[in-house]
Amino acid sequence: MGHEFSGTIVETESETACSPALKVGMRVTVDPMVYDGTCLQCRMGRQHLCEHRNPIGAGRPGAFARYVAVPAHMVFVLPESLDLRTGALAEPRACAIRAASLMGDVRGADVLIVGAGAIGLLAVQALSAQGVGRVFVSDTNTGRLANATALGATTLNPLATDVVTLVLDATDGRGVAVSLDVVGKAVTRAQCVAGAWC
Amino acid sequence: MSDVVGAEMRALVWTGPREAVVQTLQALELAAGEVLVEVA
Repeated sequence: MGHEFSGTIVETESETACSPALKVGMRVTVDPMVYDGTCLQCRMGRQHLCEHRNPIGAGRPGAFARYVAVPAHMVFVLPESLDLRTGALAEPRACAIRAASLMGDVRGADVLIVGAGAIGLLAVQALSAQGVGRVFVSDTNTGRLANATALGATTLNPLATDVVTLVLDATDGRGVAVSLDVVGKAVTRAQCVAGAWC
Repeated sequence: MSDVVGAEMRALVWTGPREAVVQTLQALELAAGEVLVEVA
């Protein structure tokens, strides 16, 4: 836990040669998926699959603490225009943008996002920025659904309705072009498959 | 030991269990090529 955060550098190890530009006082965020940079996966440019990855908040101590030690090559300086609160969203925002980029050209297409937590809401924004058609969002939490509605999504609550039936009805039986499961349960994955045009 | 780690250690010695002190010191100890970030 504690892999999404921002903060201020208060100390640099004396031999931080890989990023000499990092100075005490700089406002930063991090890529928490710490990789070694030397294994085969890293050399192939797939650092996220590093054979010796040691993520902050999983393998290493995370940010549910006052201080966190971070390898300098995983640190990114925030621009002056970005406040620390927003900077802490860099990692989950990157996840949403990455997922949206994998969908290809979905301009005008309807999409389904199952889950309206932080990643789901960020995905709504990322997909909307790509010019998708309708964005259906499913969640059992009414507060989260209200946030999705505020972002322009069409919300569905599986406690009150059948998500797949409604999506199919709304798309003339065809289903959405792309669905995204940001919950990770068997039932939500099944909804994504059943509600998509296959 | 840096001033930052030293201050944190002194605070924990007075307020925290021994396990917390050890874990926190391990987390704060900078290895080569690392920086210490104060979480916002």
